[in-house]
Order: sequence, then C-alpha cells, then structure tokens
Amino acid sequence: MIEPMVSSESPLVIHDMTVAYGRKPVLWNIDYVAPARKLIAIVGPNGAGKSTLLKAALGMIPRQSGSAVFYGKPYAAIRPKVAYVPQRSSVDWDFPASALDVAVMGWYGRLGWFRPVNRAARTAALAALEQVGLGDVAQRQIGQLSGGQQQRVFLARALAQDADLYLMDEPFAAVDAATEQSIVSMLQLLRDRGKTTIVVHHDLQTVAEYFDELLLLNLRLVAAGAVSEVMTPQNLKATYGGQLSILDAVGQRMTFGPSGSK
Amino acid sequence: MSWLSYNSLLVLAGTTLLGAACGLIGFFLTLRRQALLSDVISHAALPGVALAFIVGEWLVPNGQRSVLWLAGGALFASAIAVMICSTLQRLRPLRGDAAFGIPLGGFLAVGVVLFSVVQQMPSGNAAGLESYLFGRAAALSTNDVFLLGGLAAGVLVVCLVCQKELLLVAFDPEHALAQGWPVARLDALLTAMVACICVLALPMVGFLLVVALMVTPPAAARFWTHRTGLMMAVSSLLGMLAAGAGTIVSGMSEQVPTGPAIVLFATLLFIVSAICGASHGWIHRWWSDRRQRSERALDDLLRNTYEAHEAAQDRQAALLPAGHDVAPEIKNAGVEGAGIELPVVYPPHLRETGLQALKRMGTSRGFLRLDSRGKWRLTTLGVQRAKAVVLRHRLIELYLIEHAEFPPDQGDRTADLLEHALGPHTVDELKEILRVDFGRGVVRSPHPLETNAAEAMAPK
Repeated sequence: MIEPMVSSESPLVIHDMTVAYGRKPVLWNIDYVAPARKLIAIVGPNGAGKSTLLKAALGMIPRQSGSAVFYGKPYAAIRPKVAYVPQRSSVDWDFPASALDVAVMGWYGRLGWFRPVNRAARTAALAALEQVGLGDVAQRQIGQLSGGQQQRVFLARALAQDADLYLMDEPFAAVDAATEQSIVSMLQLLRDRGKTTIVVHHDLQTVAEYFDELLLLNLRLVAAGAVSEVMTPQNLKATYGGQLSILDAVGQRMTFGPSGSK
Repeated sequence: MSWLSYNSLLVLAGTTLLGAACGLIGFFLTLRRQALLSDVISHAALPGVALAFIVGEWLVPNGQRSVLWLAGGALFASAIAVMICSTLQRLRPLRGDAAFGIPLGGFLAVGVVLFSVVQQMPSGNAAGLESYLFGRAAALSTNDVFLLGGLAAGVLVVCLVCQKELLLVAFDPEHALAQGWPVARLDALLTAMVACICVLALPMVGFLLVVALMVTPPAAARFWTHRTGLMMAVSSLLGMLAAGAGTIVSGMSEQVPTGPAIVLFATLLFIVSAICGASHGWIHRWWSDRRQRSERALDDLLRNTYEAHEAAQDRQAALLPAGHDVAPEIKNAGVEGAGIELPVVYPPHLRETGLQALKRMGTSRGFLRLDSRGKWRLTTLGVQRAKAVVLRHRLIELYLIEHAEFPPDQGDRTADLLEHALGPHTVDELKEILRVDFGRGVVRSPHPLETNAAEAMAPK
C-alpha cells in the first residue's frame, strides 16, 4: 500500500471531520491533505470556521466525527513537532510577563513538569526573539509592546518550540504593514528550512503574494490546492457568495429547534 | 494575657504564614481571573462549618469540636459549591458572574439558617463558632495553630512547585491546551488550593473577609513591579504584613476581631501601594510625567538656540556680497559644530518659573554652562544634542509633509508633539525612508524659521 507512505509525509491529514458547537455544526465533513514544506492559507468569510478548523484538528475542541493526523501520527504522539499560535486578542496583555517570559513558554513542553526555566530554555527563547527582531525588547513587559510586536512575541514562542508544522490563527490581524512584511518573510524563511505553515488569513488580496497553497473554507471545504489553481471566480463565489444559507439555516434549527428556522 | 506570650507569638507566626499563602495563591487566582471563586468558596464554607458542628454534636454531644473537623465540613461544602458553579457555567443561558452569584447567595442563606439553629442548641461550645464570622485568631489553641500553619505551608510548597504550570495556564490556556498541558486539571488544582487556604484562614479572618485577603495583596503588588517572580513575592509579602499587623492589633485589644484588623491593614497597604508603588504608583507616575515635561522643555531650548543661530547664519550669508563668507564661528556651528559653543537663545513662550530648574538640568547633563560673562551657553555636547533634536524634529516634519500629506505649517506643529516620542530606532527608520542629504549634519527646515534670530546676531 502506498497510501500510508504518503500520509506520513504530509504534516496534516484531516479526514471527514465534522465539528459542532453545542449541537450546531460549524464544519462539515472536511477532507484535507496538507502538502509539506509549503505556506498554506485558510481563507473564508467570517464565521466560516477557519479558527475552528485549527482548534479541532489540534483536539482543543471536540470533533463530532473524523480524524486529524499529523505526520502520520495522532497529535498527542507528536505534539512537540506542532506549534500553535492563537489569536493575539485571546490573552490578557497586562499579564505580568516580559517578552522573554512568553517566548520561553514555547520551551515548556521540553522542560516538562515542575522543572523551572533553565538557561537552555532562556537561550532558545532569546534566539527566537532575535529572529523576529525583538531581541532588544526581550525584558520589556508585554503590555508595553505594540500590537505588531505582541504578535511577533507569539511567533517567537512558536519558533522557540522548534516545530515542523506551524498553525497560526490570524497572525496578520491588526498589525501594521511593516510587521506584516516581516512576519511574511519570517514564514518564508521557515518554508525554506523545510517547515510547513498553515495560516488563517483574512485578506484575499495578499494571498497570491504571500502563500503557495490556498484552502477556501465556508463551513465546508470549498477548494484546496495551489493558489493559482484554487483562486478562480467560481471558487471565490462558492466561498463568499450566499450559497450556504441552507446549511446555515439547518444549523440554526439544530440549535434552537424548528421554530428558529427561516 | 500579654500578646507577647508563647501562645500569641505562635498565633502570630501562624497567621503571617497563612497571610503569605493567601497573597501567593491570590496572585495566581487573580491572574487566572477567578477571584470570585474565593468568594463562593468562603461563603459556602459557612454552612459547611455549621453543619459539621451540628453533626458533631449529634455524634458526640457537648464534645470539643476540633478545628480540623470544622474545616473538613467547610471544605466539603465548598467542593459542592464549586461543582455547582462549574455546572452552571456550562449551562447555556447563564454567563460568568451569575453562575457564581447564585450558589454564593444560596449557600450563604443556608449558612445563616444553620447558624441560628446552632445558636439555639443547648451546647455551651456554640460560642466558638462566632470566630468563623469575623475571625478570632487568639482563640486558636497551640495545636490548632500548628495544624493550620502546617497545612498552609504545604499548600505554599505545592504552589511554588507548580508555579510554571499555573502561570502558563493563567496566561494562555489555549496555547497550554494545544501543548498538551492538562488545563482543566491544573485549574482544579488551583481551585483546590484556594479552597484549602480559604478554609484554613476562616477561623482567623472569618468567612466574609477571606476574599479580601486573597484579592487585595495581588492587586496592590501590581503597583510595585511588572516582573512575574517579583510580583509574586511582593503579593505574599503584603499578605504576610497585613496578617501580622492585624493579628498584633487585635491581640492588643480584645474588642477587635482579627479578620477586620487584618483586612484593614491589607486595604491600607493597598492604598500605600497605589500611591507609592515603584512601578505604577501615583507618585512614580507624577514624577515621571514631570521628568518627561522637563526633558521636553530642555529639548525645546536646545532646538530653539540652534535654529536661531542657523537662521542668523543664513541671514548673514544673504547680506554678504558674493565671494565673502559668513563668520567662521557661526558657520561652523551650523556645519560641523565640533568644538563650538553657542549662546543660549530662549524660546519666546518659555515661562520664567521653570527656567532655573531647566538650567540646572541642562548643566547637570553637560549641555549648558554659565560663561565668565554670566551668559548661558550651549556646550559642545549641548550643540551636538541640539543637532540631534533639530534633526529629529525636521525628519518627522518632512515625513508628515511628504508621506502623510500634511500642509507645511501643520507639519511643524504636529512634529512639535511627536518629536519627543521618537526613539533612535525611529529616527534611523525615518532617515532611511526620507533618504535625505546629510551634508550639513542636519537637514534644512522645510519652512522658513521664525525664531528670534536677532538675539543670536547680537554683538557679544
């Protein structure tokens, strides 16, 4: 059988994954094989389930059905090789921690239980911060950093982990153009080193410029593949056009009962 | 009984230890944004204590109720309350605080009812329960203190051992979950430790005020530092100080219950921290604001002086017949500035009151000096600094005009506001973006200068 060989190469294989919040499904039957060593964008309208796709693949929210396999293994067996970068707005930036404190958290998995942060962890974290251009503000409290710098601190935390697959939730949200550029070149550098990055993205305009692969998502997978092949008017219309009102209405009914239908 | 007796010193040691534990665990609790949890736990402890008393009375009438037995009852009731809370939180139409408020009120009501039942019981030991309302540390026996203190120390150790994990979950639970840390179990551990400390602190502080001892020290610690480890230490230290001082005061006067005395000191420490805190305290902010204002005033003085001399040089150059050059002293000031000192030219709107302080500050920085004729001059260092300030101003001004499409006159005024916030890094970036010619060390102003140039031209 050739199939397992291929799947152990692919950083992420999602098979028939359906996810629901409460009783309302937000992702229907996703099938996706991520190509290795590529920069991949997940694009779709608000509420399309882009962030949910990442979280469900990582098992942070329960899947109703289906599976997600990383490098041919279940996530629990390969955690250190996968780095997750949540949305910047998901944490309290007044937290009493320095940029270095946050970056070091990427190394916690390696430290394990109860072991205090050691020099190796600090060195790795500092190197990661320098990589994203924050070496000189490593000791600064995270609340005193700009939005773009905060996003790069998150990036540094992922880099410190030294994973092979990076899953990023809206790293370009509310950052200035210069930061966006520096993050993009960072991601391209990662790709050149053989890493794979999957990014939840909101800007169709820049997809072709930044990414190799595109995954169009709106409650279901509309299309996936090389950007040039996927970015067709039909696919975009299928993603952004209001064709999914039926699916949405069914979801509503599953939540609130038949009376909630349109 | 003197408060210096062996027993009261022991009580003091026990309460300070518990105070430290409250401050430490409260630090993690507030970071996890679960401060209300300690409120629920302490309120639920009330019916727990009463129930344990009633059951004890039923099992062994008129027996001595050990602190541990009552604490066990409190812990049991708290555990039920916490479970109800987490169930309610998952219930769809309810949100956060309601899920906490409902069990809190319910348990308090049951507690008050049970307490009135206890008070009508014939047992003579019911009076001991009063201490659970507002705390009476002096009523604790030596054994009780060893027990409470020992358990508090145990929680303290667990807390310190797990601090890395607790902080991870408090900062970014999503990331922690993705990394495979058992977030729910770590949260449960934190809750369990909070419950233990709450219940242990009950006989000292009373159920109403335990929450204050958990929340106030970490809040006060925020004014002192923003480093994690230090804030943790400050928080436990403040908890310790409040508990110690409160115990001493209530030990000296039989009338004052321990709980209010301790919380009074905690509140006092909070106020002191808010005013004197080294990181965000009121005095610190006032001082750094003031400092920043004088920095700006000094920069303005330097820039004004430089621009006045620059304008004077230009005017002189325009008046001279072709082939002649301006006086080398003035020319060099504009071009190289090395080894050149310039007489100070005061900005037109400078207030007299701040001038002395400004001169003192400029002198201490080495930018200004008083010459032998009693005139103030910019030193060589001052001229260099003035150049940097002028350059900074003109770069941001040019940027505003060329890249942000400001009209030239507005660019100047907005640059006045922005220039002080520019760090060296931004200045470098501006140089790169604007690609200006640095032949003269500074760029020319994009608008005619309206400085009091005549003053700079005045004969010496």
